[in-house]
Amino acid sequence: MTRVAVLLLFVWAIYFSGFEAKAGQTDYESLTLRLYNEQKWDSLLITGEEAINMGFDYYYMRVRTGRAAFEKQRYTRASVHLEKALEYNSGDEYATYLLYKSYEYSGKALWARWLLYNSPVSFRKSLGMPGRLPQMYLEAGPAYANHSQMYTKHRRKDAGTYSEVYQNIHSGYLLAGVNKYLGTRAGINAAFSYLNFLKRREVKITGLDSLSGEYHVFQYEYYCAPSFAISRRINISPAFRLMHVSLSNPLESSDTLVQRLIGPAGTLVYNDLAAGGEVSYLSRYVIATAGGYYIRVDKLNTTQLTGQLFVMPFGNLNLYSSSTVSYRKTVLESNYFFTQMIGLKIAKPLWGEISYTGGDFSNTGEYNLQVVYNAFDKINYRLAARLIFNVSDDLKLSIRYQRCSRVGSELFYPISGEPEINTYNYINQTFTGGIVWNLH
Amino acid sequence: MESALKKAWLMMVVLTCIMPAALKAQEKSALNEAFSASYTHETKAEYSKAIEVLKKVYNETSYELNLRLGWLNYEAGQFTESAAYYNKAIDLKPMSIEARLGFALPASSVGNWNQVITRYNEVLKLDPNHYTVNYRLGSIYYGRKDYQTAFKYFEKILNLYPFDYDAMLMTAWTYFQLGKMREAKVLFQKALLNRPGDSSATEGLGLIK
Repeated sequence: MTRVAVLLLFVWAIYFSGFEAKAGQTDYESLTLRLYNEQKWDSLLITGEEAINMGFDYYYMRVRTGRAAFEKQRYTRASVHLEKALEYNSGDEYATYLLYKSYEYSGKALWARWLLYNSPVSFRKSLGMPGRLPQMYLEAGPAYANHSQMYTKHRRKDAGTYSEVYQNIHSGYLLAGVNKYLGTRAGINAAFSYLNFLKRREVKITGLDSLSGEYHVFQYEYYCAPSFAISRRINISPAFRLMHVSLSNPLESSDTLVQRLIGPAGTLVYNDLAAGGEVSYLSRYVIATAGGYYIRVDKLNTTQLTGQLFVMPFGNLNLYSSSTVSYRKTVLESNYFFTQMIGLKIAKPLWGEISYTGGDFSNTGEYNLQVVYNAFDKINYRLAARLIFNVSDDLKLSIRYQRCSRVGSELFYPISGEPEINTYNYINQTFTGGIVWNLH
Repeated sequence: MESALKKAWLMMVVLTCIMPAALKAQEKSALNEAFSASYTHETKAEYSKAIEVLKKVYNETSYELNLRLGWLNYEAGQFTESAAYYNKAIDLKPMSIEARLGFALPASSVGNWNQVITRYNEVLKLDPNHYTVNYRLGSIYYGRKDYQTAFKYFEKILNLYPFDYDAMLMTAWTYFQLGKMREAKVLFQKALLNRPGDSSATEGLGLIK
């Protein structure tokens, strides 16, 4: 009875006291405005989100909170608030600008493009009409291999009737390309590359001759990858690559028998090609990509399937990773290979990336066929590091070092028995410098 | 102790039964007093007190109370609360134009212009020739540099009020932004007939010459 009476008294007291007591309510509007004017971004981000959770959800609150997140380089978090701000006041140039930059800085080029082309022309003009002129990129550098030394060390030294080996000495590489948006939903990436490999061919025919000669392999490669945004989240990009290869036989002999064994003199020309495409799905923190490719290298056909996850755990490019698993199949063999890359911001304008690839990825493509490894030698692993210097939003410089363990092979005919392939490992090191800039 | 609790229990039951009836009887006069007090406080810029007295007699189903609280909260700078009260008023009287015009005050103060546009478009469905709303919509789109849309609204009020200064001036500036200089010039000159020496119209004419 006592308990019931106390409970009823309590209920009665509440009923007649009303429901409006909100003692000590914070004036979020004044507080966030003050923090915004004082540029106290840490406090503003916390207070702004607290206010929004309390129901003080409106344009100015979202813009202030979005700006605070932007200044703290929490670009994905900023984009959430700025998208909402634009729901309250669509077409607002300040919020659109911050959102555009948030998308750009968090690696969401497709969303940035989508936003831009849905904005008034006056706004695009204020940004210098990005997308009107293409983005250009250029990359070049040499590569060196210790192939000759490793061959000398590991070559078959026992008696045989015939041996033949092709060695990589060094090479040069030049890539030039453009990225151009074609309206809201389409874009095109086109590139040309030139590769010049210096190689050595050695043939030893016991009792007849021993020949050695250096020669060049020239490759002219043409790349084209249009892209189509099916929605704000899904992008499809077919890709094509034609590799025009020419090389000459450096060996000549006055002995007709030897000449028959080493092949005819003259230049050999053929085309390698690759075709396929990828589908990407963009979310705030993850970009998932699946690709499928057909690659023909010197009459050997390869089918490649690739899946990639690009993750930005903090919603920005201060720390990111890319995990790729690929399956490669030829008529002779099949295997899986994987690449793990981690990138992070080292200092304000400087980013660093390291990556490791395990498994044989010869005769396969990377980055939607932007690179095709059409050299004959198998690959054991690859270690790579890259430094990116962000000079400005429109200019990036990079240097890359790549160390690749490859498998050299020597065709060897013993005195008796079947011919053998003698394999040994060698290291190929590549140094590349690159530049990417947006034309205005 | 037991008897004291019994007395309290009895008193509570009696109060619970009697008080609603008594309150109902006093409701009307209490409401009048509350509104009267709220005006007194408002004139002294005591908006919190004005809100407080109305909240004491607050009834969720009262259009008048919600509308008044919407206004007082707006004056007090409590825009979220103000918009909520105006929204309640609109729910209670779906044809109300005044509540929609009221809603535009806090919504525009916090920058929610899309909500303002939505409410203004609702007003135009009820009253397509509403001067204020057409003028304000024109101004919003003018501010967004969407001059074609702005022109649609300014043209309407100019047709309805051909010698209205604001209608002439804003239509003139919109023509100017659309590159229709001849039409802009005519309207700037007419605006000067309405307000001789007007600085904005003079500036417009100066830019055309």
